[in-house]
Amino acid sequence: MNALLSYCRSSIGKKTIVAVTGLLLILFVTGHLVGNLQFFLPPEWINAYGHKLQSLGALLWVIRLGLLAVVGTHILATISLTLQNRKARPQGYAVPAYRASTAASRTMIVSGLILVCFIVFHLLHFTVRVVPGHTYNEEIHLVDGTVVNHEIGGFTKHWGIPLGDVPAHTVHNVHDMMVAGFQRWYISAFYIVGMFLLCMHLSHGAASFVQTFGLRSRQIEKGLTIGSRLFAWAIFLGYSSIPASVLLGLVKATGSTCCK
Amino acid sequence: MHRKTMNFTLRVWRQKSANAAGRFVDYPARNIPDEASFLEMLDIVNEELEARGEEPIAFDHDCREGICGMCSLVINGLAHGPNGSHATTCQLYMRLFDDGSTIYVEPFRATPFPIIKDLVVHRAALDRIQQAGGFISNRTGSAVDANANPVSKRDADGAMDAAACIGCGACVAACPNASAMLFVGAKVTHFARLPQGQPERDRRVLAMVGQMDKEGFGNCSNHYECEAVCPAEIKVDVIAHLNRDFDIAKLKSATVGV
Ligand code: FES
Repeated sequence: MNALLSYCRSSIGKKTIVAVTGLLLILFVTGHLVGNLQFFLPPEWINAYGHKLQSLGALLWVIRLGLLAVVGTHILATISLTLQNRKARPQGYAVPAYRASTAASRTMIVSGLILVCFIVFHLLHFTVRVVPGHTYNEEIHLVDGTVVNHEIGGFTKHWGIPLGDVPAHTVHNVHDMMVAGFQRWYISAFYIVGMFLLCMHLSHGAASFVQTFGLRSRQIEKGLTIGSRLFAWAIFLGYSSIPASVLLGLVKATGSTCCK
Repeated sequence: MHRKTMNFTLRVWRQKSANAAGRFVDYPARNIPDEASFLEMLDIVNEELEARGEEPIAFDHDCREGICGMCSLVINGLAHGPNGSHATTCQLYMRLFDDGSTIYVEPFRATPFPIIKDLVVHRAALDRIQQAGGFISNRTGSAVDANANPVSKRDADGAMDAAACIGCGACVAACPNASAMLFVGAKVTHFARLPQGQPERDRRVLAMVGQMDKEGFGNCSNHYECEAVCPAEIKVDVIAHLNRDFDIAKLKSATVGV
């Protein structure tokens, strides 16, 4: 216990905490994107996916709280490191000049803290669904609203996992909720700006954790830098394509006709 | 002999003592030969200052041939100045600057490097890190036969590259976080890649990182500015090595002991 505490207090220990939690968050944003891209498939796909996630019950809360803990630890460790760094150089240079670092690497704390605001809004928007002025067509009314639903739009399984038994009227029309949520240009713009900040954050972070784990070397240095930037841009384009396609009218609400 | 001379305006950090407030003061540097080094240019300016009865600008220097690591300075925001060829300030030549330009001259800035006077900073924090474990304790005796301790070419090269560190502290000065991890990484890697360094390998990395943290250096966040200014061309690979060795040593110390 003592050893763990002293590790967590050391410079390299804290860096490792940031790297481990950062890697977990990279895996999360990647998985979340793959899930969300089902938006471009027939609406049943993402509705069934959303339904599946919501019927996880207690496990869903374990995942949610786990993610919250990971994000919280990532933030606490980086704030602590940043405060130490500021203390180590209270007075900066009159004409700062840089040779190797990037705008992304020097603004990690800024992009990160703005992303926290983004996450809070995102949760209010689509998880708690309390953003004022929004009405979501969020329920799918099946022909008989009282039956227990084993099936959404012909799906009895999603990615091989059977759908749970949930009364039909609680099935959310996730597809239409997303379309409604991105209808306003300023909300979509906010999402795209948020994703750009995520892109900057990842372009540095995705290469950084490899170095912090002690696995970077001259041999892989180039590939790692390029790879992390490509990854960051892929995440940006993937996520931004959703609000962009709604704004451009490429994807439209389907109403309750999507299912039966 | 034809000598090209240049003129500059120096904006120099002047600070009477550790606790005094410092400020920038402008000095003209006139008729500077283009083949003068940056330190020789400061000598010329100081001669003029002394002739006028003013306090000369204090700066660190020793060998003036790029090997001792004593010279410092942050010039126009860059540790050891705008030298593209990984060299120290004493190996920086005035012909690299634009004639007539204004040059900012500042000390290495980091809390663990307190300013003694003007551009002179106290870099003993690096010595204390070194004393915490940057050595091997066994008696070396007289030199053994060259092939008595077989070392692979890869490790010999890696250790040699790390051992090139001259301890000038430019890595700390250049790091936006004032981290000393390139320095500590070089010292740790130097021993960790040689057979003589193995017995104390874990204890060494724990002690040196412990001292580094105690001195109040910042934490590497992988900007790699250190690598870009290092006159000895130490690569950030040594920081990866340091991270790796520290994690393993911590794990061992919590379980099997080191
Ligand atoms: S004075 Fe010795 S390296 Fe510059």
